[in-house]
Amino acid sequence: MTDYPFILLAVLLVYLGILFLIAYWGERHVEWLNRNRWQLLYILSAQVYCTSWTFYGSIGFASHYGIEYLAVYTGPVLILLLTEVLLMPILRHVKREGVTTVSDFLSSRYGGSRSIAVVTSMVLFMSIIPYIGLQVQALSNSFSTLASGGGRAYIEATLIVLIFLAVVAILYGGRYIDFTRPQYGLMSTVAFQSLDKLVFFLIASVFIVFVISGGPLNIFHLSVANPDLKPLMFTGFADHPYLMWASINISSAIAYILLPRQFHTIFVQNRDEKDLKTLAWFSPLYLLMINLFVIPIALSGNLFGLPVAKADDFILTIPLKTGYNIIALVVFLGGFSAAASMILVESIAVSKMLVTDIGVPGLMSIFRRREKQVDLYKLVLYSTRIAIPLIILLGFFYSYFMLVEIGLTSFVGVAQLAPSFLIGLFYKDGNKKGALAGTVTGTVVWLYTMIIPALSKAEILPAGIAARGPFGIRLLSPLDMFGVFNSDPITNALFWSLFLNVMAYLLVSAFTRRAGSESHAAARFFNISGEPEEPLAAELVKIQSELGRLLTPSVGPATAKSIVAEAFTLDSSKLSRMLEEFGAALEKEKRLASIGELSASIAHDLRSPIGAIRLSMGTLEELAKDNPEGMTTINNAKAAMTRIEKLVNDILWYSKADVLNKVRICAKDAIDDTIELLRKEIEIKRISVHVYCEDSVVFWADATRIGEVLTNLISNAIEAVEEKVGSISVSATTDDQNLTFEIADNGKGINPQALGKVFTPFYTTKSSGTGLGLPIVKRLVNAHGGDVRIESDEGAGTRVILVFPRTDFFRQTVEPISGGLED
Amino acid sequence: MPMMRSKGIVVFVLFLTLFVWPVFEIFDTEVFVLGVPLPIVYLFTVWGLSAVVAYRGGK
Repeated sequence: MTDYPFILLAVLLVYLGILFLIAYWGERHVEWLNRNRWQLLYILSAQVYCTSWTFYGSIGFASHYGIEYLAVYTGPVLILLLTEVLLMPILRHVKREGVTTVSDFLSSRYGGSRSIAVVTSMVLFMSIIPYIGLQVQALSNSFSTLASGGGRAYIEATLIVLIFLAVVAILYGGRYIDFTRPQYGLMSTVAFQSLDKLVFFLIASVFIVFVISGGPLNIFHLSVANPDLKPLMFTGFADHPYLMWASINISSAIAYILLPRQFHTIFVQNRDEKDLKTLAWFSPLYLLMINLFVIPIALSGNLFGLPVAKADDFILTIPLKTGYNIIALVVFLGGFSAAASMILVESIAVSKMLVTDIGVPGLMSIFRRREKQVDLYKLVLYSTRIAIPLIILLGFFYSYFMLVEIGLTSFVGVAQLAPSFLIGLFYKDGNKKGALAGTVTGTVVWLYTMIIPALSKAEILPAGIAARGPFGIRLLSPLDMFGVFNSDPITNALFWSLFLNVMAYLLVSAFTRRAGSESHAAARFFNISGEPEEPLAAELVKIQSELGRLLTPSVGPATAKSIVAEAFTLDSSKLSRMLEEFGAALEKEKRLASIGELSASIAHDLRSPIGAIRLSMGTLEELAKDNPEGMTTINNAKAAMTRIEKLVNDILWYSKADVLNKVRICAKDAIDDTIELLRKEIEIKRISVHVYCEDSVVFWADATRIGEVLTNLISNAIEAVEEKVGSISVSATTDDQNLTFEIADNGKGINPQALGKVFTPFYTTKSSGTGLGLPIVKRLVNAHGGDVRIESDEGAGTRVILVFPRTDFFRQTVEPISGGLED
Repeated sequence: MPMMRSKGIVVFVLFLTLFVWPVFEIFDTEVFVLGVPLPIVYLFTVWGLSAVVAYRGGK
């Protein structure tokens, strides 16, 4: 197969192109993703849990430990059974506080603690980089196996793929700093990868098991007769299978929710609690499907006499050895997909965590010391975009110099966050000091029991240190601490690290007091009343916590807390003044709201008498048709009535601007309809009107109210321009983020004094105006989540620009509108 | 009441999956059901049941 690399590269490039197109399409067609389609993306994306370790590693694992490998997947099934009592409270806290990473979650639970955020980030960083390295290595190995290369060949091809993944991750994951925003492009491509890795795995498995190996019953039958294979159908070759089964179940259950990619897809990208309930039954089925044929393939590889040391590659080597190269190619693409989706989501989630918890606070303190102003938004955005490729690059270097076999080691590392995270969900007295003590203790024990033996195995540390223990003290042997779990390193590491972690957490929490800010955070977390405070101080805390909550999605709770603390001084006189101003503004707003309601009610009641007066005028007109003087009086009264009617209608429009009935609208149709409505005025003035809008520009809005907005603005433009020479242009354009309408004219313009007041109700420079036209426009546009601005040069013309965020136009169909910073 | 019952089922399934194997060592019995090893049949059955429980619990 010497000519294989070219075909392989071509197929890979086509596949990468498809992934990119899906991400691009997902980001550009958010309106297509209605509630059900988004739910499908969500439940598929959460299957990013299945990486190349599932695709290749499961078979290798099963070849040594039989069905015990399944604990990696039954653990998640167990935790999904606890959706109502465990996952739902986590989701609610994530949504309430706007947290976007595991470290954010822990930091917000323990009062916006910076130290908790940093320790959590470091633990996850140490656990995840080798895990990304494992994916990179799987990519490289599968490429070289399929293309008959040797060793670490095809590094260039791997690098090309990684560069592509970094670009996609930056474009569709690092697009905004607010990670609570739906990442349509990223989720679309990850969901597609979840689907194709399952389909490819099933195609290859069915082929290997049924076509090549004669069916599962035949495989089991042949294996029973072979004493070397029989244990694989049961508990494999583990010395302590039951302990190992329980240990792997526990660590994988924790990993399923605390791995950064899992937390991101399950909690941060969730838009509806119902989707989590759907995930609770969909995930077990998905995991079951992808594991159905693992044991038969592991047995089949052994029956073919393939080397057990390379059991990870059985799914690739069996079709290659039997001449089914197409099936091998399908496996390669599935494995690539599994690795790529993990690298994408994990690099985004980890980079966000490192940037907000370590990078940005560090940079901010440097800028502060140098007394330099810093644009926090750009700092976070560009730091994240730089961190994403760096994380991937670190994964690549790790794979190249792979020192430690990772997989379960990574899971046990992540499990060190579980006590402060999971116990902290229910244990009200758990505090920051306890969480820090527990996590640090557990992590040290994890490094001691898993990393030292691995380094020892790689001959970086003295070979005997793992078995004999430091200074020959056998009881301190990293592989068998205190001689309890002989020959079961996973249970040894998990038990001792978690046991000491939990003990440290509970004991330190029991004997130390919480800081003030931590008490408020705990009170909010458990929805209980905090300690009674002075009203002023309580208001201050409330305002601070609200500001912090608004900043959290972008910079994390710890940085948000420090920004708010810096911005706020506890100067009570300043605070009193601020609260007084706030109270006065609130009072004014309430008063205006009452006046608005009253006006709307009066306006509504006036409509019937106005209708009666109009009818009476018609009768009077009939009676006075031969009396010119009487007709003049009646016409004057009719003109006055028309003005009253317009005022009444304007008040009603203004008061009901927030009531929207959104439908799908074509922007060009909306503009054309309005111009048609105003055709008479346009023709009377003999002016030109130009429309620039493509048919494809569509959005969700209240058609009647958008029609009112356009009618108001185009009528104003018609009034502003001179006869014959007047020119008006109306355009609607769209980009990734916004839909923009622009109405421009070459009329008389607005003087600067008036320009500042045009949105004030009842302010008008026209003799016949009600002063409600532009305030109505502003209210209607605001009600749609958009904004309006006017640029005018007196004597040269006016431009009115309406900007509607595209996501908000879409989001109204799937979720309530929420704010966030954009690129 | 239905809430209590579904929670009870959840706990029961958890118990089965995690502890029956270690306690009764059924995974070492080397029994085959229609030619398929009992542990595989057992695990995938419990697994499928878990999905059903989760589906009904989410309704």
